[in-house]
Amino acid sequence: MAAGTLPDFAVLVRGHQAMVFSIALHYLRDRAAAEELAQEVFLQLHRRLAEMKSAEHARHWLRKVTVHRCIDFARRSRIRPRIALEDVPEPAAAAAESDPMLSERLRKLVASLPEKPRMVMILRFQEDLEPGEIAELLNMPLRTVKSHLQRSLAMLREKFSCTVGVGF
Amino acid sequence: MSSLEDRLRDALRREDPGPEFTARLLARAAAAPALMPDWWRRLAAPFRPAKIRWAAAGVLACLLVVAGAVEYRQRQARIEGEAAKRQLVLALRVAGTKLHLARAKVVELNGGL
Repeated sequence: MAAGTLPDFAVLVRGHQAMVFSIALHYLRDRAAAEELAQEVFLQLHRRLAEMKSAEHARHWLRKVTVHRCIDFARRSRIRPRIALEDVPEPAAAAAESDPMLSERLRKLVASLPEKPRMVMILRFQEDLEPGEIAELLNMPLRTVKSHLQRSLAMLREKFSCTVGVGF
Repeated sequence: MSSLEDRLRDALRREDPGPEFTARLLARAAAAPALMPDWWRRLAAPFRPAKIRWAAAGVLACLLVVAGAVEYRQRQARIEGEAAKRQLVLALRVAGTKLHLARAKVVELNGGL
């Protein structure tokens, strides 16, 4: 769909369901909750479809609403990181290329971060957004976003270099 | 894959929820209640931004407070007016009784002469 044309709901769903669902899944670490949240976001979009000026506008709206709904959902249901950093198991061997165990361990480490840094990491590494875009999306100062990124990366790097022996 | 950033991108890559998700969502959307009438959405459109909604709520709250204060003052004035009226009627009654007694006394004195 070209940006600038009025979007069709089914096309928007198929085009952006992976983005919406994955933000929720990586943030909540609960597949059922992520699916329900993603459905609610799209149903809200359906109710407000007439307000969408373009496909780009709809994509931006979906990402913003998903991010804020995830944070609200976690606060409402008092979802704290279910895995303490110390409880994340160490991989048995050194990491190979695209190791599924390492990926799972990284996802768990990200899930163990506090709410805001967790969302900053997801937006940076899942959505590949620049810190400025993340700051705008989260209504957060740019330096706070950069600080969250640096601290979270430092924590992950330290955890890995100490235990796995992989130098980052 | 060398850097932590690349590994994070790989770990946090997007995942499609699957065709069942799409089918369930489109069915729910089709069954969703009808949208608000067009005239209502046009009427509500200026109040859609959150800042304008808050400002409108603030103005409405101020109007309610002012209207409440005016109504309270009017009610107080009415109560005070009614109390003053009751006191006046009582005073007139007392004065009337006194005049009646005085007149009776005068008549009595004149008759005695």
